[in-house]
Amino acid sequence: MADGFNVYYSFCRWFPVYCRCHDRQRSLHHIYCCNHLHGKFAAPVDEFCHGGSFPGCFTSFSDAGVTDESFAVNMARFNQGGWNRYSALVLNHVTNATWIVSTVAGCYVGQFIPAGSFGIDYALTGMFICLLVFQLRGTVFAITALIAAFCSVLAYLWLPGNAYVIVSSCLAATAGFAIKRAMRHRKQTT
Amino acid sequence: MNSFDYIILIILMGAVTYLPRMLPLVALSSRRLPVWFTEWLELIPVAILSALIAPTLLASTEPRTFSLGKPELLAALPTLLFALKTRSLAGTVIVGMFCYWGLKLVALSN
Repeated sequence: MADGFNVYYSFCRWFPVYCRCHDRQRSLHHIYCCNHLHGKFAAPVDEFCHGGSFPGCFTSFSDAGVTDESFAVNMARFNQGGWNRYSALVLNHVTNATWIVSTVAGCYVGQFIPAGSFGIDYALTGMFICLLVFQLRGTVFAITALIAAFCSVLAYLWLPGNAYVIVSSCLAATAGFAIKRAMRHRKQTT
Repeated sequence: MNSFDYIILIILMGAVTYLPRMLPLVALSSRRLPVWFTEWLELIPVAILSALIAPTLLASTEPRTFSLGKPELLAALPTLLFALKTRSLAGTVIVGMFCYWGLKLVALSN
């Protein structure tokens, strides 16, 4: 079922990309790079869901549905508590299903909504800002967010495609982790 | 391009969508992760979200250049304050959209 969802989801999302470029190898590479990022998204969710001890079949089913949006909502809910792996599973696949239905609906009704009306272009940014706020659970998290923002803008200017997200988030998390350890070490010595 | 090529393409797109997510996680899920790695993973969500948002607010596309004073950045300030104050997802999205829309209208009228 997960494969079916993802083939269909992939078709809806990437078929137009392929149709434009008419280059199979290039389009597959593009899709692979984007989904490599989603693989990285899945790791923290997986840690919450399974704690490193759950059978691979559930992992393969649940993590296959991770998208930018479901990742952010799942992490916020896990941190709030009262959220389990089944909630995450439902969220992942309902999000994908909604994406597919919305894509098809958008083809028919999108023409009736003027471009840029009601600030609709800002909906995703607004959602990410709020989800970022949900993740700020202390000084280290705030510092990590600032480092990530700085590195991300620099990487965005120099690196092609979406590589900036992977590079900057890894750098920022590593820096944040180092700061966290230094703060813990200082607290222990005083 | 014939129909067979398209079907092969769709199957391959499904594979490159699914495999990069599934393979590393199936391998990881059967073992206990080290504490340092778990602590590092805890910081990944905040880092990714910040990394996704920052270029939208602080850089222009095509060509990619640093840009201060974009309406996206100006709208982000009240949106961020609203999110910090209320922690309401739907409310933040609506406030952000209307701030951005208003700024765009102001920019167009000038």
